[in-house]
Amino acid sequence: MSISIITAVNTADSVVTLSNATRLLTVTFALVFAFAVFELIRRRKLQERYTVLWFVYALAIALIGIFPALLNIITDLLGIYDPNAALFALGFIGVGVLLLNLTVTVSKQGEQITRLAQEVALLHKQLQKQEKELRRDLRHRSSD
Amino acid sequence: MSSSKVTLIFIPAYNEADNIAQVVNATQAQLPDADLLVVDDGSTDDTVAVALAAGASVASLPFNQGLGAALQTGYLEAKRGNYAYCAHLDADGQHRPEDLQMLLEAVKEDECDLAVGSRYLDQQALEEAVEGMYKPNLSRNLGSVLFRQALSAVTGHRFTDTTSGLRAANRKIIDQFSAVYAPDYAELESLQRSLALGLRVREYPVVMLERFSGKSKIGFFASLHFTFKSTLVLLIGSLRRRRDNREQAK
Repeated sequence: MSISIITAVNTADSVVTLSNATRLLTVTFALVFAFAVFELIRRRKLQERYTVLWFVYALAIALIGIFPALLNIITDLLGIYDPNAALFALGFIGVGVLLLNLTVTVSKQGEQITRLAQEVALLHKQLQKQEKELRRDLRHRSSD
Repeated sequence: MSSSKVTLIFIPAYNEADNIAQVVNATQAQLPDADLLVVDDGSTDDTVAVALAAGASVASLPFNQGLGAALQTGYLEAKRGNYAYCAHLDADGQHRPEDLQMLLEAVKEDECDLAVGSRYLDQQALEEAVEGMYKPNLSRNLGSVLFRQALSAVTGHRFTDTTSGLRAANRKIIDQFSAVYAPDYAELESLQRSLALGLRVREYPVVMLERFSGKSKIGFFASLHFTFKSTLVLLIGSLRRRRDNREQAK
């Protein structure tokens, strides 16, 4: 998982600090990620309405890079001993939310596809009927 | 879609080339005044050609979408075509067109908004009267019993056959089902929803025959899915009902 590039260091008094290099890497990753999402939108490979959660995701990573203390607070709040475990837990929860969001989108699209298929079926039937009528009319006219 | 006829009969069909002609002919003979539409659910066999040759109109879904989506196509056609009534039966020959006519008459007489053919109502009397009748196997039977008990408990309405695909409906149902109908295993949900909307659903005893040819399409995983979905539908339905009741109490 991408968040795992952040390495939390356990100091003696069990307060987590990230090395400056790690913090820089984390923030850089968040920025690159946000930029990638941005680029995908610009190239029309991603629709804006599906990107809110991805920006939230990038923001969360950036925040942890800038304020590593946040991780301590969250770890304490969750009652987890190891900040690394807390990171993984948060990562999994985040991915879960994103997936659920995707399933909602897929469901909506499934509904739209069904309706589209139904419309195509009925239109096609209507077309066949009109073709038949037209052919009958032509036959009538030619026999007159 | 200017049709002078008031009734649309539709038959959802998925790979029923062996049975569809017989069903179409029998239905047309029984109900000559109704328009007949076969909704082909993306069949890969000759269902469409056979149905057309039998003289039916065919609306063909471009890919398999599930029975509910096929049925909704029929309701959609009924709505667009301004039919006052519609009815549907299965394409495998298990339903008798005379039963369909009886259901349609019940709806036309305004006995209910949705008439459902039940194979379990007055079962004994029917068994004595008709030979070649469908006899569900034990596990199917048990599932049916469980779900009809559950649905009855949730809706406060007694049902004996919750998965029946033999139904007749009026305009109120057409309006609802053409707008919202689950694409898969929609039978239970549609009953529950109709009742929740305050529409009148009533069962009538019908005879179910053994299918003309081929096997039922419901396999093991499909029944698992059905069980799961039905439970969910009932759960959500019961919550909704409780909320409705609370709102009424206020």
